Amino acid sequence: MGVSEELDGLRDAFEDCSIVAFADIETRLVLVSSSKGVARRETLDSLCASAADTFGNRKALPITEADMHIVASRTGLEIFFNLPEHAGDALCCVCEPSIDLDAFVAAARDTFDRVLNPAGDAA
Amino acid sequence: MTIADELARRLAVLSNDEAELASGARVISEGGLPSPMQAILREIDETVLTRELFFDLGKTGSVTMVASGRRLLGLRAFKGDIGGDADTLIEQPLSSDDKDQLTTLASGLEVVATVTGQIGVTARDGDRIGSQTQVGLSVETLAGLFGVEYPFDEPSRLQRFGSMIADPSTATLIRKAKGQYSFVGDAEVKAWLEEKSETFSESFGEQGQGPILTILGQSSGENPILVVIVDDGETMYCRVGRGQLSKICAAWRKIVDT
Repeated sequence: MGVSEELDGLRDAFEDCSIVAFADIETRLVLVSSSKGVARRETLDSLCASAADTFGNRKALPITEADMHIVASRTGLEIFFNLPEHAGDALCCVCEPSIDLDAFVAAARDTFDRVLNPAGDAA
Repeated sequence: MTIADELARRLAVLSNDEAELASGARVISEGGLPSPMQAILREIDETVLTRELFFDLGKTGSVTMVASGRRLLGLRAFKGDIGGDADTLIEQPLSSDDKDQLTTLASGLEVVATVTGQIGVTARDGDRIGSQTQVGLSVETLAGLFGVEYPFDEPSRLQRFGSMIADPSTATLIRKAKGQYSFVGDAEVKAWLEEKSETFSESFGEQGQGPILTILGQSSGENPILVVIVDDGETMYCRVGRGQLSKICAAWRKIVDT
C-alpha cells in the first residue's frame, strides 16, 4: 500500500479526523496529504511548521524521547508524530476534540510505522 | 465569587448539552469539584421558598430533601444505597439541638460523598416539613456535620480538569506565578514535574492566556506522559499513565465547553 492510501485509510477509519499529512520537517514541506475536502496550503504549511518547531530541536524537549505531540484548542486537535530514528519525517493530523484519542493515536502510530517502513522493517 | 462568575456558572449549566441525567435533572456535580456534598449544600443555600429538592445520585440512588429559607427542613424520601438509620428521619423536622438526629443524618448521607459520577437536582413545589417556627438546619451546620468547606470558592477550570482526570497514577502541579505553585500527587513525582515544567516553558515559551492543552510523550510503551494546560494565567502540569488520552480529551472538552 502506498503512502497516499495509508493516509486515506487512517482518515477514513476515524470520522472525526479531517487531515492526515506526511511531512519532511527539515525542508518544512508536506509531501503527501489526505483531507476531507480541500485542505488549504497554508493549513498544511502551518501543520508542518508546528511539527518542525517541536521535533526540530528534540534535545530541548521536556521529554527528549517523545514521539507524539498533541495540541488542543477550543476548536480541535493537532497531533504530530516523529521518531528519533526518522528525525526528518513527521505525521501531522487534525481531528475534532470528540475523537477517541487513545484509539486514534494507536492507529496513527501504526500507519506512521508502515509509511516509514513499507517493507515491514523494524521501526 | 463575583455576580458575574455566578451568572457565568449558571449559564454554563443551562447550555451544557451533556449535563443531563436519566431523570432529566440539572447536573450540579461531576463527582470532582465542587464535591457532591458541597454541590448539594449550594442548592439548599439557594432555595428561599419552600421546595422539594430531588437529588439524583446516579447508580447510588436518590434522596429527596425539603428546603426553605436557605435551610434544610427535613428529608422526604430515599432510594438506593442512601439511608440506613436515616429512615427514621423521614418527614421529621430537623433541629440543630437534637444531636442524635444529627448523627443519624450524617451517617445516613455519608454515602453521598462517595458518588463519583454526576449528581443532578430537580426542584419542585412540595409540602413543608414541620411548622413555621421550626427552621431546620443551616448550610453552615450541615457543612460542619459533613466536614466540607462551605461556602467554597468556585473551582477554576484547571482545578476542575485536575479533579476529572485524577487517579492514583496521576500527579498535578499548578503554577500561578513564578515561584508559586501547588502540587497534588505522589511526592516522588514532584521533582519530575518540576523539572519538566522548567524545560517546557523554555522549549515552548509563553502559551498566552489559553485555554490550550499540550500532550507530549511516547505513543507506545510504559513511560509517563506530560500534559500541560494553560488557562487564564495559570499553568497546570500533569503526569499521567498510559491509556488516559481519551479521558484527558473528554475532560478538556468539558472545561472548554463551559
